[in-house]
Amino acid sequence: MIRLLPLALAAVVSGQAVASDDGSPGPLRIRVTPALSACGGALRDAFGEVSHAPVALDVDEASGVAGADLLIADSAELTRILEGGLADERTAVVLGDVAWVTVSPPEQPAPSSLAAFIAAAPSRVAILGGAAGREARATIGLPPTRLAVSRDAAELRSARHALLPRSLAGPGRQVVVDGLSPLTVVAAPVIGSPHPAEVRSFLQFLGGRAARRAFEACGGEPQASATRLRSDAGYAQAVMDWWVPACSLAHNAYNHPVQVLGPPDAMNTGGKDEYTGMMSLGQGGWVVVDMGRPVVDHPGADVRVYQTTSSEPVTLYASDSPSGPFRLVQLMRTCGIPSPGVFSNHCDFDLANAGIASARYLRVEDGEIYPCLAGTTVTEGADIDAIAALAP
Amino acid sequence: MSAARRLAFLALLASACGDAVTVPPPPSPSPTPSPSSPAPGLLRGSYVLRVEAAPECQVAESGASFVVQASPDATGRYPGVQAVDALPVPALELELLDGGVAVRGGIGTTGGVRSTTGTFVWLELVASGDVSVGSDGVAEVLSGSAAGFVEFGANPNDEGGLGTCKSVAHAWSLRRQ
Repeated sequence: MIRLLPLALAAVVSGQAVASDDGSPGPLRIRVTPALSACGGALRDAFGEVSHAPVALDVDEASGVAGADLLIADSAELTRILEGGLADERTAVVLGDVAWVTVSPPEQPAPSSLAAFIAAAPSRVAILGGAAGREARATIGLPPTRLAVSRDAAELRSARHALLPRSLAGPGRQVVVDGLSPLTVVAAPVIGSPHPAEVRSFLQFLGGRAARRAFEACGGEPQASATRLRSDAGYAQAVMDWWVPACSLAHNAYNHPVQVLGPPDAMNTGGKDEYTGMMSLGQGGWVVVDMGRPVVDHPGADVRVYQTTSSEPVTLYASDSPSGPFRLVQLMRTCGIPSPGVFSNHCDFDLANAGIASARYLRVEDGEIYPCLAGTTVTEGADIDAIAALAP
Repeated sequence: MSAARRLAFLALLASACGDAVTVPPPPSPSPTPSPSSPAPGLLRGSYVLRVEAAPECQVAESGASFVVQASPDATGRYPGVQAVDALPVPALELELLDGGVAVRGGIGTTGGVRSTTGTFVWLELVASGDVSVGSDGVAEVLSGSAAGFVEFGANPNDEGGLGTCKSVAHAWSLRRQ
């Protein structure tokens, strides 16, 4: 669960630096990933103005938590950290989204599409490296000789032609790219931090207007402006089949497929790996469910998968028969959109992608494909809470 | 595995291999495994895993190879096969549902994995393929299909530097070393 702080909640922050609970010296240490370095700086400055508390900010990958009290990253960059229990998912805060934009010189006309942008780019296009940029790199469809892959914020910001999260975009003409999922920005407190009071103070600050303004200033869109969610119209009724690799069955703790039935009800009951109400699919595992009646294709999304931990990707297939053949609806969709009022995150699917009008049986498959033997938790693979048909 | 259970299992595997492709009916059960209908558990030992990026991919390398060790695992809900590049903690791991005549499952890496030619590769794939058994009794996957991400880089910190491709038309093979 990642909290959605009510933005109306005013930050109540002391005007003086807060002493650490254990008296550990030093400032609050925030680590922000390169994609969000500008947001980290803006939030640090805004927090400093209201709290006068010292903050140390470092820009690095979210590959570990050593030396950090709190991480700010795209949810896809935090999967291993959150699932591994290194940061506290229960008290983590979603700040909002950062859209992907093309950046062109201001003297050029605004490209009408990504294809038009590519056609107008005379040479190399700068693009974000690392996990946060993977979908964008796969989407742009340019050979590596025409890409400048980087995680250096200054280098990316200075590029004349670029495909970047808005938080990294330079001064050129920016056009939002349809079809690329925005970054979901999460602030996650490190478990065992020696500065818990400072962390609490910062998380409280994130619910206030100053933090909202700072986030908007770095290109973010706070959650309050997010599109209203469509409502669920029905849930998976029965499990028809499932498979999880034996390795994952042996290592994971949540192997019961019936947990994906009914409305979303997964919860973290108080610590690392302590969950109820979900099924972890392991490395490439899947579950086939009967929705009870055909899910009909309507304009827009038709199926919602509730996925509990972080934004682990999910693949969805659909069929009119429990034994298939199944048609691919969407491959490895990042599944980490916060669900207001629900513990689990979610991702939506459109049956039109499979070219089918309706389907009663759905196969939900892990899209993380993380090596089982390298896993460090009992929740490896996408964690499925519920599967819903959406109202038209 | 009994003939009836084998037939049911083949139907299961066929249903799992969809992706907008009409799956043919399962073959007639045979009490005696033959080279055309191998039983689960024959993929074992040292193999070369080859992953070929889809033809439409804009990547610097057409593919990459890795040496893996495969071992069957019959302790799950259905028979499976696991193949890894190293133990106890692999950087590359295949976890496949083993239907005897065909396999299907995930091929994943923990980060950039060095291929036999020195390129670093990131994989998140769902792969399927038919199992062939030669006259020497060695089982292989000569040509399979895979969907997902393939990325290439010059070093472990260069994810995507030599190309990133998400496709449903990648190819793979698992041939005896």
